Amino acid sequence: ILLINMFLNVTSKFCLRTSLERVNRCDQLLHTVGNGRLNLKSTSLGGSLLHTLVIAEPLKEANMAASKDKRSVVSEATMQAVRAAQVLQTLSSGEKMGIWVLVAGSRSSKCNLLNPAVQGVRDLPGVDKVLVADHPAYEHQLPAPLTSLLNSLASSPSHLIAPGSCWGTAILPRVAATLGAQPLSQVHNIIDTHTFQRPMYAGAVLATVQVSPSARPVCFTVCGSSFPATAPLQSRLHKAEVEELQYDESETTGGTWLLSEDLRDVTKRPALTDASVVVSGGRGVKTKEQFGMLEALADKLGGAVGVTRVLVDAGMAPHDLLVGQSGKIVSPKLYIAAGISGAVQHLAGIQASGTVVAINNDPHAPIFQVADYGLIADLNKVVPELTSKL
Amino acid sequence: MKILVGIKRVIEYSTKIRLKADFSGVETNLVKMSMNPFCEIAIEEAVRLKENGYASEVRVVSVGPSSSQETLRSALALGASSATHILTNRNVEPLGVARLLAEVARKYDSNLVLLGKQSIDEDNSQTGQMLAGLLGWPQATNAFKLTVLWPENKLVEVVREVDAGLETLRLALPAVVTVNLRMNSPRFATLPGILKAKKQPIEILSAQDFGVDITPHTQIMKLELPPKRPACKMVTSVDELINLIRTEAKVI
Repeated sequence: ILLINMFLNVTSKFCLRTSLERVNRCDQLLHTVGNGRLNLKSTSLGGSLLHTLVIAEPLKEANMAASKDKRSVVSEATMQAVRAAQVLQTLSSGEKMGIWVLVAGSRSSKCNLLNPAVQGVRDLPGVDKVLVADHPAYEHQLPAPLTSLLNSLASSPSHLIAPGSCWGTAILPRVAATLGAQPLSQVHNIIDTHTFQRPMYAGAVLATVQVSPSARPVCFTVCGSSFPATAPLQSRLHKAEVEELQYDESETTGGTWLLSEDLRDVTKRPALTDASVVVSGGRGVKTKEQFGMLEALADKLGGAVGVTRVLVDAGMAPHDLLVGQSGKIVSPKLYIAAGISGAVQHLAGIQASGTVVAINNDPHAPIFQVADYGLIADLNKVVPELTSKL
Repeated sequence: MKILVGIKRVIEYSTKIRLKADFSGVETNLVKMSMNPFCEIAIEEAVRLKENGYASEVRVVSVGPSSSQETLRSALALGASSATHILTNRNVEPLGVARLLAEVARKYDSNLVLLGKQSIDEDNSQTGQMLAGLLGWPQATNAFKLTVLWPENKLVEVVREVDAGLETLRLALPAVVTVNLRMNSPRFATLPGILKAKKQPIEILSAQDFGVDITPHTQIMKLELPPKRPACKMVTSVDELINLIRTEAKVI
C-alpha cells in the first residue's frame, strides 16, 4: 500500500506540474502575441481562475470632492462598469466568474489619488480582487503605458470591461487590438457572456452582436446610463483582496506627455453624465444672456447644463457640454430641451432620459416626437418663468 | 512629413435610417452615401498641413467595395495627393481595418495618421486607437487642435476634449490622431479639383496583398428599432407643465 501511495503521489505531482506549465505557457503565448515581449510581471499564480477584469477610471481631484457626499471615492463610471460586470457574472453559467478591478496610478505623484481609489474600489459590492499598478508612468493613465500594462498581466481575464467614457473609449480599443480582440463599444445590454446589444446610427438602430466563442478576452466599453450604479451605503465587512503588481522593467509613457489639463469643477454643477436633471439649449438660444437663463434654471433644479452642436460651434459653450452622438449620453430623470429642434444626432444622447420636456416655438420640431411633455412657446418667456415658479 | 488619412463611405448623415424588411441589415439600396463627416474634417486638416508646408504628401486610404473609389476621388478633389483603395466586398471590422491601415502606414512610411474619431454608421470610435496600438505609436483621440512642432522636435501638440474639459498632450511622431467636429470646417471641392481628381490614378490593393487576417470576430445577429416613446402631452402654460412634472412624472 505504501508503494502504491508513493506511486500515486509522484504521478499526481507530475500531472499538477504539467497542467501549471500548460497554464503558464498559455499566458506566455498571450504575452508574445500581445507585444512580442516576454515578461511575466504578476506575482500571482497563472490565470486559471475565471474572472472578468474591469479597468477603473481614474479619479480626478474635483470628482473626489464631489463624490465625498456620496460616500464613495471612485468615479461613477467605474461603478457603472462594475455593475456591468455583475450583470455578466449572473449570466455566466458554470464556474463562478470573479470580478477583478485594475487600478493604475502613481503613489509618488503630487496628489496621490491611487490609495483612496484602491480603498474605494475595495469597498464596491461585487468586487473580488483589486490589482494595483503603481508606477510614475501611470500617473496620468495614458493609453500607451496602460496598454503595455494590460498586455503583461499574468492572469488572463475572460472579459475586459472599461467605462464608456472618453477615457475608456481611448484605452480599450488600443488594448484589445494588441490582444488580437475586436471590442464592442457602448454596450447597452448584456444578453449572455458573448452576446451584447449596442446602438448604431446615432441610436436609430439597436444591434444584437455576438462575439465568437473562441474570443478571449471579450472586450467592451459600457454605456454608463444602462448600468446605473448605486454607491455603497456603508463599508463592506469583507473587502476585496488587493494584489500589488510588481515591476522590474522601467515603463515609459511611450512618446506621450501630458502638458496641461483644463477641467470643469464638478462641485459647482454636477457632471452631465451623473446629473439627475439636465437643462439643454439648442438653436433657439441666440445670446449669452439667454444661455444664462438656462444655467439659472439648471442651478435652481440642482442639475447640469447641456448643449447641442449649434451652441458649441457658436462658441457659447465648451464641447464637454455637448449632448449627442459625438458628445455625451445622458440619463437624467428630467431632461428639459429648450430651443432644440431634435435632430437625430442629438436624440442619440437623450434616449435614456426619464422624462423629456421640450420647449420650442416651432410646432413641427422633431423633438416633440420624443418628448413626454411639450410646450410650444418662446423659451425666453418660459425658461425664466419656470425658474421663478419652481 | 507624410500624412495618411483613413476615410470611410457611410450613409449620409441626414438620411433617415431604414431597416431591411427582414431586419437583417440597414437598407443601403438607393440610399444617399457620402464621406463620413469626421473623415472630411481629417482630410481638411491634412490638406491644410500640406498647404502650410508641414507635409509633403497626403495619402488617403479607404477599405471597402468598389463604391469606395467615389469617396477617394472626392478626397483627391479636396486636395489629397494620392489615394489607395483596399478592395474588399466583405464587411471588415475595425480590427481588420486597423491591421490593413497599419500595413499601409508601414508601406508608405507615414509620420502622421489622421482619422475621424468615429464613423456615423457604426459609432464604434475604435479604429484610430487600434491602429495606434498595433503600430505601437502614441495616440490622441477626440482632438480639436493640432499643432506641428516641426522641424525642430518632430513632435505634435494636440488639444483634445475629454469628459470633464480639455487636455493638452505632446506626442512624438509618428503618431495617430483622431479628430472631432470642432477641429475645422471642411472646404467644398472646387471644379478644377474635381476634374483633376477624375484623371488621378487610385492604387487598388486587396487584403491578401498585405497578408492581413480580416476574419470577423463578431457577428450581428439582429437589428431592431429602439422602443418608441409614448406620445407627447402638449401643454399650454408653464403652470400646467410644472404641475405635470410634479404630480404625474414626479421627477421634482
